[in-house]
Amino acid sequence: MIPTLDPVIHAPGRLQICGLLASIQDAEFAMVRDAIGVSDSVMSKHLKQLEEAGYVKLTKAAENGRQRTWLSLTAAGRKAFAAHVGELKRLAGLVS
Amino acid sequence: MTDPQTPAEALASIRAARTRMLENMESYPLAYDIVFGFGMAVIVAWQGLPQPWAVMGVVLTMLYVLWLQRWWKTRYGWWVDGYSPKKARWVAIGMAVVLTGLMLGSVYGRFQGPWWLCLVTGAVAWPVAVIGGRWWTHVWKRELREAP
Repeated sequence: MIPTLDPVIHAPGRLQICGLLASIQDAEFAMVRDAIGVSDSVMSKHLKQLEEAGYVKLTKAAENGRQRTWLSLTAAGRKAFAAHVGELKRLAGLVS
Repeated sequence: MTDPQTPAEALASIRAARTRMLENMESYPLAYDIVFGFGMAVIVAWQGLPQPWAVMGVVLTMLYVLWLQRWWKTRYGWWVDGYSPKKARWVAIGMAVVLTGLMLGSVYGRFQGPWWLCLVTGAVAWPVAVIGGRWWTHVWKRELREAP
């Protein structure tokens, strides 16, 4: 199989979301949004695409009277992200 | 597809996002590791007590660790377990081996004496867990900044 960049992951915002989630177990919506510097609506759009691809799982939990959304990469998401980063590294090596 | 980023820029953007996440915990409190270490010291020392106290100690410590995890997630908005990162996991495994050895020391003290051996193993476990916790965080942060 020829390695290719995953179009779902490759968009800058989604790449950063996956990059963050790949390094941890789970993260709260607001923390990830602030770390990648986008608005709530842009963040929601990215998450919708990642969720539809089966890469991200969203869990809602009530804490201290307010609803918080927790995000985590699925096994398929971790695999796809690892393959994507591998391909980026290969291409970066070709360029440099 | 138009690609605004070169592969090197894409990799750098991942590192940048991770660095921003780590900025929130640059000065994470030593108190967290001290409190975590206390829990580990208790579970180690408690094994020197007769049943059912030894088992109760394990259950209470598990609840204690869950409470600590909840506090961390509320404070920082994310969670990582000790064994997931490739390099830092070896610190966690090393710490688990030492703490298990100390726990066995407590059990030995319970059956063979002296009875106070569990106090010694618990006292040793506390700094081991505190130093291990700090060391783990240091290795994990470095691993995160270097990857991908």
